[in-house]
Amino acid sequence: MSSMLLRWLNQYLVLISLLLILATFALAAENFLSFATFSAILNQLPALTLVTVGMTFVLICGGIDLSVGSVLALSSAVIGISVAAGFSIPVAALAGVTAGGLAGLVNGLLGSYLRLPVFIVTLGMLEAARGAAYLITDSQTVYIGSAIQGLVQPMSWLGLTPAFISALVIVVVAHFVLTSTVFGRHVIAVGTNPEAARISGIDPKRTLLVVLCLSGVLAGLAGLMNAAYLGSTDPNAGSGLELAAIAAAVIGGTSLMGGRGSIFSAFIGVLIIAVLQNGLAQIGVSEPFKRVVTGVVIVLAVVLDRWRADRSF
Amino acid sequence: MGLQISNLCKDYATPVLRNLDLQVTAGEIHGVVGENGAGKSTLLKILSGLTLPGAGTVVLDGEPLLTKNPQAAHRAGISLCSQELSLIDNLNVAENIGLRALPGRLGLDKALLATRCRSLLSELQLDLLPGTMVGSLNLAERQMVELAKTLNVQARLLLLDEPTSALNDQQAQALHRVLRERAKSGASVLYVSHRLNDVLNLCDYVWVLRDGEVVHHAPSGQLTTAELIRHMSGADALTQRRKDESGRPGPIHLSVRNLLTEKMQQPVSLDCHRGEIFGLAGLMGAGRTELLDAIYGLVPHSSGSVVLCRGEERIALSSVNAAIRSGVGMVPENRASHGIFAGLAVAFNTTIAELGRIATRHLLKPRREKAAVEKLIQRLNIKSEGVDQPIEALSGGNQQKVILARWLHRECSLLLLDEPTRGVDVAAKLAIHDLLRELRDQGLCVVIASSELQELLTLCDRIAVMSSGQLVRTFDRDEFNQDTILAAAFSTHNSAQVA
Amino acid sequence: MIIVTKSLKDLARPLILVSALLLLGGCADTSNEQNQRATSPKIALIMKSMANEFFVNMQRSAEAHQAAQPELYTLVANGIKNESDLAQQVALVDQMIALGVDAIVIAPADSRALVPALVRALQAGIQVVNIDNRLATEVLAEYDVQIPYIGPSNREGARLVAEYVLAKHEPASEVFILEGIPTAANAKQRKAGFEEAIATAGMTLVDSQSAAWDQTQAAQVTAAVLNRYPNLRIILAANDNMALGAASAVNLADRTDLSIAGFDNISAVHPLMREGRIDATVEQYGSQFAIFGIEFALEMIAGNVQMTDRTTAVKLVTPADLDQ
Repeated sequence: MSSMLLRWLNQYLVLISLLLILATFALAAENFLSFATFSAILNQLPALTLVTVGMTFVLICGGIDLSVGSVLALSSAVIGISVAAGFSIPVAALAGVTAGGLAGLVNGLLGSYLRLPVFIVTLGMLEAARGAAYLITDSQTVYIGSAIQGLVQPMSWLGLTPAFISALVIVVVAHFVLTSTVFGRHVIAVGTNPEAARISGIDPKRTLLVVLCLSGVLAGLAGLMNAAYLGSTDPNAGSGLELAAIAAAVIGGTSLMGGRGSIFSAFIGVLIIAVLQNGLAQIGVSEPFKRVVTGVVIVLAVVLDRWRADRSF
Repeated sequence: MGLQISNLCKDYATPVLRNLDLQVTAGEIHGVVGENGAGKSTLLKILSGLTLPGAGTVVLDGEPLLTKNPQAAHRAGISLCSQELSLIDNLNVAENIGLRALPGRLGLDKALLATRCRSLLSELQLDLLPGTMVGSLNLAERQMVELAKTLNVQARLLLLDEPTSALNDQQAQALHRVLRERAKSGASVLYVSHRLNDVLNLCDYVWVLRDGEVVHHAPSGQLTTAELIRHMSGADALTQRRKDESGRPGPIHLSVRNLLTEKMQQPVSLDCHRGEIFGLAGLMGAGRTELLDAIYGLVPHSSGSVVLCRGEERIALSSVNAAIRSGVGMVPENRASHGIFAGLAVAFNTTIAELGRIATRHLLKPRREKAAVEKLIQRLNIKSEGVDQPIEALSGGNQQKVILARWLHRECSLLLLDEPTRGVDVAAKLAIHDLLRELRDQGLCVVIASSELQELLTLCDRIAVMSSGQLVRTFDRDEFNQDTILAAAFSTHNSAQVA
Repeated sequence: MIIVTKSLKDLARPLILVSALLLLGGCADTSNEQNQRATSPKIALIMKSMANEFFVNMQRSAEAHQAAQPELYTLVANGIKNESDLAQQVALVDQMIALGVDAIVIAPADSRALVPALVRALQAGIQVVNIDNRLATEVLAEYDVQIPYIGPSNREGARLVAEYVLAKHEPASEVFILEGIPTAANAKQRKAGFEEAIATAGMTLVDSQSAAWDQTQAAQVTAAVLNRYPNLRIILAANDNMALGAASAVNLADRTDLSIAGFDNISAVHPLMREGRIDATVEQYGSQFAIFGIEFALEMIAGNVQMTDRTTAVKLVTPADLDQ
């Protein structure tokens, strides 16, 4: 009986943590358990969710993408100036996502075919993409207007927004790709043991290239979500987002050494971070305290994950 | 005097050692043999302080031994050469050898270190410069350096766990000479190995372990390999060797012409047929691994060609992917670093080289995968708790079978194997041999490199001998024996080295 | 890990080389200029947060000012990428000391941390003028130095805009303040100005939180606070980027009964002010700050000025002002 319970606990550990955090805030903050709170949280989710999906893929493949926050800013900057230049929202959005994909492609080409360490390449992109975002916006916040906010207007039923629904769809598709396709197997194999993967006929370079491109495209899409959320683009957007995405992935049990991770769990990691941010703001704790709590939760999550990994043998 | 072990117990999830009693007289070499999982490695881990015993006592030279940690064991004069090599890639040979006892009070006495290192290396007949970085060494050289590191300290008790798994016969002989000298000067030696001939030749006394207990012990003079195998496995059917059968080789399947890569010293040409097991013999560093890597396309070819023949069709291979597409499979030399995907399931490890068979348009079909893997588990008699068990939970022999299953799943026509039975227990080794024969009989072309001459002699239809990167001679079954092959292996070395 | 450090080292080497070359190049460049006009003073302008259009504009007008009268002085303008990059700004001060400029005009990223570096500049005989964010007086007193501050009264500007917005609502309405980075002096002064106006108007301050000047953080914090306080009527944001974030959160919460005030008068708030989603902001003629500072520095170099602070004008900007 107790071993059954333990196994069940193991499997749903992340989800249980999320529920515990929700319960804590429900007790501590007035009006926390309300439709408005949840719709506010859902509105904030899409950008971090998409970036985390990309990050989880890259981490499982044995890499890391530090540039996602900057690429998000670059993409939203491209969208902002495209709209300001008179292009329609869909064209501008496409341009933004393309910019993200190109940044990912550059990361991938340098990281896989020039054999530079991915950590360093994406660190470079973190600076370069941020600089490019400042350059093209002239360091100014660009107002886009309410047209783009259609993405974040709740649809009549359920109160879910198109942005949230598309992020959710991407989570489901990404989870499926990782667990049930040939490509997903290749990503896991390369992240676990690149040499053995090569001997088994998988091209580790190409796999890493595709994964980094994917992360760039998703960061570009996240840029669109962020621009829609704010109705304007700020070249400072998304700074530090790479750390939030890594934290969400790690809370979800993704290994920084590659090979292990789950998109659904990472998404719950995203929910934990978003709920934490919102709940702490509703309680009205000070900024320094928020950061202390967030840091403690991240480390705690890794401790729990280690405990879980040890038990499974 | 010497080592007395009584009632030693150790449990992990299940008992690994049960009331083990074992004595080693000082100045003697005692062998410990047993299948994987018999408890040999655990015994050595306890003696060297890497893990604590559950119960029991250990007495060394009359004093009770308390090895709470490796440092305490080291102070007590115990030196272990473990199966997992513990060398540091970014240090050179001398620094690695001297790591446990670096000379010099404040600074490092590099001259003294180099002198000590040179004398050890020459004792072991290892032709290496003390300043060579360990990262650049191959597996056999690393194992020799690890041994030198173990022998560097003045030990009362020497523990060796599979010390010759990566070594060729010549190298192993050199090690044995050194061990005999150490024993003569009063040290006790505990020697764990799967190479039963070595154990019988080297050791004064042999202990056979099965399921954590001593099931037999006797002076080595009273034992034979067949007896040892019978005691280890509890059955004697495994000792059969089929040496007589005559393979009838089919047409040429693999044709290598003047193949050269950056890592090879000489261009090599050879032909292998369908329906034959083709052996690659040679001393350490003769270039067997480099040749297999080149055929498989792991290293870009500088010149020459590798051609696969299919009827009239001629397929030139130049990369790993081309090789795999054309039906070539590879079992690499280093299972842990190049073979298995640790942490992942047996099923994942089995199907990874050919996912098309268990997928429809890139979508995996779990049921199809499970069926395919279960069939292979049964066929290869892989001992696992199921297709979802993580591969590192299997014994070395079963892990190796999974890697073979990977290529059976792929259905290849040419199989390249580099040291396929290293660190594998006797039963699994014989099973792998039987499987290779079966594949040969089905018309596959099997190329196998091994540093264990006995393995090649019993298994192969033809044996090519490499020496200093050169393919010196290819022997047919009726031409080869231990002497002809060794003579060829040494043919490019001068006679002084042979002596 | 060893591999990573190794490659970092490999990477660091060319980087160090490049920065050394750049420094050399910079030195060579300036010494040429020095030869050409040995008499005209050299003034260093050190900005904070080049990610913020406010400071970008400030630097541009300073450059235009210098270009219009090149014989008067030479300008070396530098900035740091964002307000949290303190170390970089301290390094810039030290580089300017090494360069041997005659005066430093600085918008400090932190009101305390920059003081020791600026004291080093004073000791090297360089005139220092403080613009934008005021250096902490007690720290200056501790070092026993005087650095004149040229700039607007942030507190006065905040009070002005808050008074205007609060006047639109009943007394005792609920108010929320979005603070800047709590350690920055201008953030403190703006908060103080808001609080003064709230007290005078008899409003209820329900909460005050920092969104670190950032748009996205402001939107998230505002969304949470709106849920907690359904009767909230007024949001006072310490800068326009946070006002923009608050406006989008208010919009997403489907609320139209709130007033929002900003500060800085950046162009992106104008469309929202026309739509009535942001009520007012404050123009502090930021683009002129650097020029004020430079002119003051020139007077100091000429030796005909007293070491006193100078306050510049602030102006309330409402939708009515935009159409003019």
